[in-house]
Order: sequence, then structure tokens, then C-alpha cells
Amino acid sequence: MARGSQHTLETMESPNAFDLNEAIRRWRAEFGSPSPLSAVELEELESHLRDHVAALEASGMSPEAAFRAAVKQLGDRQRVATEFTKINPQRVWLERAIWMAVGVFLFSALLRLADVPSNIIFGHSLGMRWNPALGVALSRFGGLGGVAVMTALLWFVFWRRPGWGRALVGSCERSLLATGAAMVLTLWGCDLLRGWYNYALYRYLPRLHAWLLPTVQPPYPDETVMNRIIMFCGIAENLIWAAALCVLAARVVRARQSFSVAIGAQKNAANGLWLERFMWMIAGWVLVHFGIGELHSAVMLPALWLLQALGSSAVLQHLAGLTTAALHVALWAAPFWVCWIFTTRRPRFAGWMLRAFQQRPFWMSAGVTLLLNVTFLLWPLLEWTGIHVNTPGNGLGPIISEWNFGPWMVVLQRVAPAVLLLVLVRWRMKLREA
Amino acid sequence: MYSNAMLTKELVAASTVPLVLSVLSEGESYGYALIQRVRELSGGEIEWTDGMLYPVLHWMEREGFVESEWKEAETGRRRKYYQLRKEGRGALAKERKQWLVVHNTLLKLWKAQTRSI
Repeated sequence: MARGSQHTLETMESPNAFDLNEAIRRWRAEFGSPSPLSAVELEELESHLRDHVAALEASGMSPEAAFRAAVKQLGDRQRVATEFTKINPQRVWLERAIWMAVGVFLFSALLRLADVPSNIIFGHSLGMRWNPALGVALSRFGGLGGVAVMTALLWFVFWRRPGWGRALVGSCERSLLATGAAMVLTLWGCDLLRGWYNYALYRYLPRLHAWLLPTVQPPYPDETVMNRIIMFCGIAENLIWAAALCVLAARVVRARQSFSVAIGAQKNAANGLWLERFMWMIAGWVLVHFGIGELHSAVMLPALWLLQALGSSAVLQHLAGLTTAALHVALWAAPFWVCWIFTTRRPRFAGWMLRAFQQRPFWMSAGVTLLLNVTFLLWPLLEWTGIHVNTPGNGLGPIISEWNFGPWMVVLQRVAPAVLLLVLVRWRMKLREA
Repeated sequence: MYSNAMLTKELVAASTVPLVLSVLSEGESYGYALIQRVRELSGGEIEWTDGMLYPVLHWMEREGFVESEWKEAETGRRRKYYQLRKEGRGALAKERKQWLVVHNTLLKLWKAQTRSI
């Protein structure tokens, strides 16, 4: 609507001459498609640009130089777009939810990819010869290291080639369905890879070992030691992710500036922007895959304990199974619910949280870390009471596997990030058109 | 570019809202004219990154300080004009009070100092 209405300026006759309308069309296109600004916001900026160019031309500048100077004075494109986003809480939280969903997808895929080589290197080559418990621990942390390396690599590539990132985001937004399919296939492919690897390992490794080292017996793992090691690794992994999140959050809060109208304020602006996005990516991953699992266990552990105390009743067991499934799905979506509530219903809550984080960064970090590791506090209690409740890492209760919800949950976990991301992106596109 | 500017970026950020409110209290205006007016009045000492003004204007509109309207200018182009509302006048009065308190305090201090030097 804006493009047609503003083309009243004279157009040049010579084909080589500078054409302001064409330059402005290209300038608008450089915001990307679909642009992060709404149509009305873009039109207002264009009106400003035309006023400025006209004034500079009147003072004797050539049209081309005037256009360049006006665009430069307008400031960094990305930064301006971010400032526009910041003033609208709905858009801010939507943006955060989108990056959280991206984080859930990206880190699930990276972790699955990193698991296989780290299992080969640490879990089997070393573990077979030394100590299976040490092998398990090393492979868990090796996987984490692999994720760190791959993340750093991705960061480097998109930092050195910002055009690639923009092109990727643009093409994802243009074909939502293809993006969703690609995401589901990626996660599924990673799972297949891991499945094949495990299958090959259990089938052929003993034979290979017997053939290569016929006289050396592989050490057999002690089950209780292995369980302890796995639990310890899980807790340590949680703590590492939570600590990374808190460090990033503290950096983002410190670096944050809004309403930075001053020239020079956008120094390192692009870095700050990506730092913030990265923080929300990790937040999504930590909340969905660790925090939610922990909260789930924190509710289910006492419940299952109570169930055992009440005695075995088929009705009770099925009820517990159903509740577990519902709770799991509800908790999985919790970070996104919170975003939605912050966005539309109670924008003030977000302000309270931010202020709490600004004023008491240490205590907030400690509180969040503790909340995300709440089962850590429950374990001693259960050890002390001597009741053992089997809660697998993904938070699915024992009854679930009997009910055969397990495979459905796995499918859900592969599909959910894609569906969620697409819904959020679609919502953002709608908001921009408004 | 920044080092040539007279004001620190913190001060520029803090003074943007009162400056915009004050210019609009002279009558309705649009983004480019607002920037030019501030540049002219400050003798070129207050330099804004032009694009950053618009988010501030939109924030003020959300807060109810100003209202906006698209109008056709004499050249035939459309411009978005901003006008002060009652809430904006209230906010301006509050800002004015605060800035005058700081200004007067500093002035008294610096007068005392010039006398003692």
C-alpha cells in the first residue's frame, strides 16, 4: 500500500542515472522478506528517508550521495528493527518463544548427533579396556563437549556469513510446511542413526572383541555402580546447562540497553542481539529437557511412592499412568504457556521477573538452578525411606511403558518442536501484517 | 562519530522523551521535523540516530502520551503526524520538574564554586 502511494517524485530519464524510487525499493527489500517491521512502520521510515533526501538535495548534494547519507543516519537496520520489537511486549515474548523452540530443536539434534561419536570414542574404545563406569561418564561429557564444539562452529559460520543466516530464516518463513517436514526428518534421522549404531554395536562388538583381543576379558559392569554414575552424570549435566544459562542471562542483562537513540550506542549491537537469542535458545532447551523432567519427577516421585503405600490397585495404577502422560505433555509446553501469559494476559509478571534478576542476580540464578535440579533434593529422602521408584530420564513413569504410551511420546518429542515453531512463526507473520 | 558528540549516550537516551514531549508541546509534528528541530535548537550538539527515534515515538503512543495521524503533506506524500495528549502534558510537567531540580541544583553548586575560585 505504501509503495504505490509514495512514487510521486520525478523519475530520471537517463537509464544510468540514480533512481530514488528504485533505491528505496531495494532499501526496503534489504530488511528481508517478510520484514521484521510491520508495513506501517516501514512506511513511516520511508517517509522519513524521503524527507531527509529532499532536504540534503536542496542543500546541493547529489541524489545518490543524499540517499546514502540519509540511510546511514537512519542507523543500523537490525538494531532499529530490534528497538521496534522491544517496545511491544507481545512481539518480544513471541520472539523469545520462537528462539526457545529453535533451541529445543537445535540442541536435541546436536546432542543426538554428538552422542554417537562420543559413545564410540569414550564409551566403547576406552570403556571396554578400562572401566565401563568411567566409559559411561566420559561418553556423557564427551557428548556435551561435542555439542559445545558444534554450537561454536555454527556460531562462527553464521557470525562470519550473516547473509546465510538471513537467507535461511527467510526461506524457512516462505515455506513453513517444508521447514516443519525437514525438522521432523532431521530428528528422526538422528534417532535412526543412533539406533543403527547401537544395534551394530551390540551385535558385532563382542565378536569383534573376541576376534581382536581373544585373551583379554572385557570388564563387566557392576550395576549399582553404573546406576550411581549415570545419576551423577545426569545431575552434573543439568548443573552445567543451568550454569551456562545463568552466565548468559547475567551477560544479557548487563548488556541490555533500550531507547538507545544516541549515535554510537549500536556498537556491537549485532553481537548483543545474538547473545540474547542464544540465551533464549538455551533457556528453551534447559526448561523443556531438564527443568520439565525434573519438575515432572518432583511431582511423580511422591505420587508413585504414595501409590505403592496404598497398595496395588489396577484402577489407581491406570489413573497414575494417565496423569503421568497428561502432566508430561503439560509440563513440556510450560515454557511456551508462560510466554503466552506474559505476552497477552499479564505483561507485568515479566517486569517483576526481570527486576528480580537485575537486582538479585546471584540469588535468582541460585534459585533457578535449584528449581531445575529439584529431584536432587528428593533423592536423599527416597534413599532414606528405602523406597525405590523407577523414573527414567525422560520422565515417563513405569506405568506408561505398560500402557505403551512410550512410542507415542517419542513421536511427540520429535514432532512437537516443529509444530510449535511453525505455529509461533505463523503468529508472528500475522502480527506483522496487522 | 560518537566521540565528537557533546552528550554521552546515557544522557541522550534519558533526555529523548522530555525533548520529544517538549517539541510536540509547540504543536503537532512528524519524525523528521522533530529531529531537525532538536538539532537546530541544540546547535547540532544533540545528534540522534534517526531510526531510533521512531520506536520511542511508538512507545509514547502506547503509553498514551501522544496520538498519531497520517496526513498528506503539501508535496503529496503521506507523513505520520504526532500530537500531544493530556497524559503527555502531565508527563511533560513531571519531566520538567525533575530536570529543573537537577538543573537548579547543579547551577547553585557551580555558582558557589565560581565564587570560591
